[in-house]
Amino acid sequence: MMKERITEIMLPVTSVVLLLIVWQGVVSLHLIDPFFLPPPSSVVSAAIQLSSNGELERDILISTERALEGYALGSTIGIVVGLAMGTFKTLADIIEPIIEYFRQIPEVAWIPLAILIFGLGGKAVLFIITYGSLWPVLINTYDGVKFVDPLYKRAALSLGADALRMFYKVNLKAALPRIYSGLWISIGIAFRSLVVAELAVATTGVGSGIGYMMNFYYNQYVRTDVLLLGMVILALLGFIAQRGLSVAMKRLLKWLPQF
Amino acid sequence: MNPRRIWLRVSGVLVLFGVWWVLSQFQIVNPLFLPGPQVVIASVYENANALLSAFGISLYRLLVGFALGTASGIAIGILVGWVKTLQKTLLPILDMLRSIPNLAWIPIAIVWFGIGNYSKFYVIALAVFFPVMTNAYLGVKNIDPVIIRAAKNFGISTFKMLYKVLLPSAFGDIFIGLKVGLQSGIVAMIATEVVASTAGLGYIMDQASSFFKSGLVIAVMLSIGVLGYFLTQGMVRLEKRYAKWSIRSGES
Repeated sequence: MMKERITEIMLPVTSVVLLLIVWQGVVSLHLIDPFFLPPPSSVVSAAIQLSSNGELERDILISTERALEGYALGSTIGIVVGLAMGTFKTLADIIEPIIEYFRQIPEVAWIPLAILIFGLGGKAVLFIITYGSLWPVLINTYDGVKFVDPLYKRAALSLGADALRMFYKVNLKAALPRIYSGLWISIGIAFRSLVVAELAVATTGVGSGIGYMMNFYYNQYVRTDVLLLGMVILALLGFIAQRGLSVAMKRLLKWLPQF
Repeated sequence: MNPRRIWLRVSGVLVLFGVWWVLSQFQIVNPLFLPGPQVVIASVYENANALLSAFGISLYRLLVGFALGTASGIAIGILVGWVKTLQKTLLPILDMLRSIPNLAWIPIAIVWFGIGNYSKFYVIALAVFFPVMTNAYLGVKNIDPVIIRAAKNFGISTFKMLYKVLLPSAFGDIFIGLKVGLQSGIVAMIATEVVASTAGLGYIMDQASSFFKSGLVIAVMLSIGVLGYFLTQGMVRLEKRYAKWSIRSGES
């Protein structure tokens, strides 16, 4: 039993470690040019070098801040509009075609216009992230409220629920699982739009974000190891954010059967 | 849909256009950022040829990337779902790679494949690959074991197992992956072109933006929305058409 558990965990870990060793090996033996594929050791040393003056930490901090800020803003708008559409049918009828259309435009397609409006810098990045994380939350919230089991509604009505209670105790609560899946999708989108926005919106100065760091070190010093470092950091940040979200949501939604 | 709903829908769009026109006509928003609808339409007309060829280039990239990502995603997803050893060894590596945001691959893809079509194919294919692979894997993993045992009892060959059992059973899941993959493929198409490119829709927007031609920027943006809408609708149609091919447990 115990032995099985150990192999269950060890096998995946071994394969990942093996991959890293092979990766380091083929590059160290110069089977692949280290310029094209910097080995794990150079990625680690790039991290050490860049964090020696606190630059890397600043980049991480500012990028995380942007991603979370845009995500929070986008999700809030998404939840509010989604709830409003789910509650007021007329409103939903009026804006549904507009929403159906605008969510087809990827957030990255807004980059050139965002640069025109907000100029180069953090504001444009924030706009892109907000726009990107808005739609999954909005659509899921709206669907969640729209498809609330009518049985709940009738039960609440016959127990004498007023409009406010109906909204808060029935519509909102029943839609929570869907809102959660929207929030889950959006956190991934927040990080994917973060990196493109930062790559395209070249802000100036050291410590302007991870995308900027990748751009700067590659364009100035042709440092491919910094490109890989940026990818690793973005992956870790996204992973941590998703874990945090799922822990928070499990606490909030304890009373739901599926959690 | 009753007439009232249709009327409401139409009026919503009309109001949007009205507000847009008023905002630009009376210069409430700087027309440099938000030119009126008439300017946007005019810039489509003026740049019709460039727009058409950019559409062609972008669509070509999307199609090649989508085909590559779909083929490899379905193949590897089924393999990982079917072979238990791969599930324990290859899947953790794929999971690790999946956690890198697709678009973070753009700079290194340019180093590897240059600024032309190949780096675009690569990033679009990656963006399509992961959702397709994940869904194909889940589809195969969740097949009712009774179906597989029945097939084995009839002495089915490996090829037939794949073609008659695995693919049809996982069809529904794979299609979900295709739909998600198409969406993220479109995003990757635009992102790769906006970050660095010499042709395509993203490139035109980028150029127009640096010359402050916001009318053209908005025109391309809006047409990307139309493109996305039609591609998604096409996918839904395809799914309906081929849904009968899929088998669901419990149906005869």
